[in-house]
Amino acid sequence: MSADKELQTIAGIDRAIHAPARLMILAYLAAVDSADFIFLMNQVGLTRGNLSSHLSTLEEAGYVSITKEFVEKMPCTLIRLTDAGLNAIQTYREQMRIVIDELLNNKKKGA
Amino acid sequence: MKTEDFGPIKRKVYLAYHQDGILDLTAGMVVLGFGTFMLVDNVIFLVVGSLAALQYIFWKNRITIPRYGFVRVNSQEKSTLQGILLMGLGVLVLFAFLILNYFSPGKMASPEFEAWSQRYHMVPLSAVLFGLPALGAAVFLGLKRFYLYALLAVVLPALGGWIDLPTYAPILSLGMIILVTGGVLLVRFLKTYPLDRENRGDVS
Repeated sequence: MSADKELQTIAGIDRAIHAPARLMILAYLAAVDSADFIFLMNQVGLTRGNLSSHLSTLEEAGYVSITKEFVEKMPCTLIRLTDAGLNAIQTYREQMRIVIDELLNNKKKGA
Repeated sequence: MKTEDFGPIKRKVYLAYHQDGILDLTAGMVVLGFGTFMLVDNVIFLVVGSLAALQYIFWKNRITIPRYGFVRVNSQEKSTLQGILLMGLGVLVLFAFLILNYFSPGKMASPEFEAWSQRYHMVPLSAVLFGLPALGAAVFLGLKRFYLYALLAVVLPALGGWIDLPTYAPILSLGMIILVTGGVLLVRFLKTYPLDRENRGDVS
């Protein structure tokens, strides 16, 4: 793969996932069935405003669904990973693997 | 990619959810209630201990969820074999208990065996009442400290019988150990996850 093609792969990386905070959110949501806002705040270490902003981005991309439900008679905002979100993580992981593999190969060849 | 790829995160989340000590505290109350019932022979302590167990969900909602947040994790996939083994073990212990306490004394047992079974009769009883539920929690919830509780539920009454302690003493000791462990875990949990009033309740 030429350097240009490597750069093209990097350019194709999904920006909705590439931000570390959003990647962490998606990783946690992929590991559980559903979670509420406070749980994600504790795990990801974001402020309320930041988390809201990142969740909005992910919801707009269709990667998470946010619903209001009653859990043990208490209102709760539950966040779930969608199928599109799971596919997006898969694609992202593949792209990152290709980029890193190619960069390492080129480095070895150059050495 | 499967969600199983996120197994380590899932396990971490699941265990952290149970590091609040509430399960230990309620279990400790049940055991202490039983021990106190044996000590004073008043059934009210048995009822109080059982009521404490029923409060588990209440305290989980009151303490854990507002601090740690609500998370729904798929139940831990455990093999059917483990379940069958545990049930088999339970049947074995129960069978041993029945033999020791109902069939042996005065019928086919020697006086020595009768004395021995009277001395150690709390061992199978404690194993069935407290050891097996603790083992169940350890196996099915993946909480390793409950293996220790299950072991103590057998070892303490055996030790009590060996040094000729009153029968309630090992049960009270077991209850205290579980209760203190739960208390320590709860304090640690409260320090790790302080109540953030701004973020309490339904936020999105």
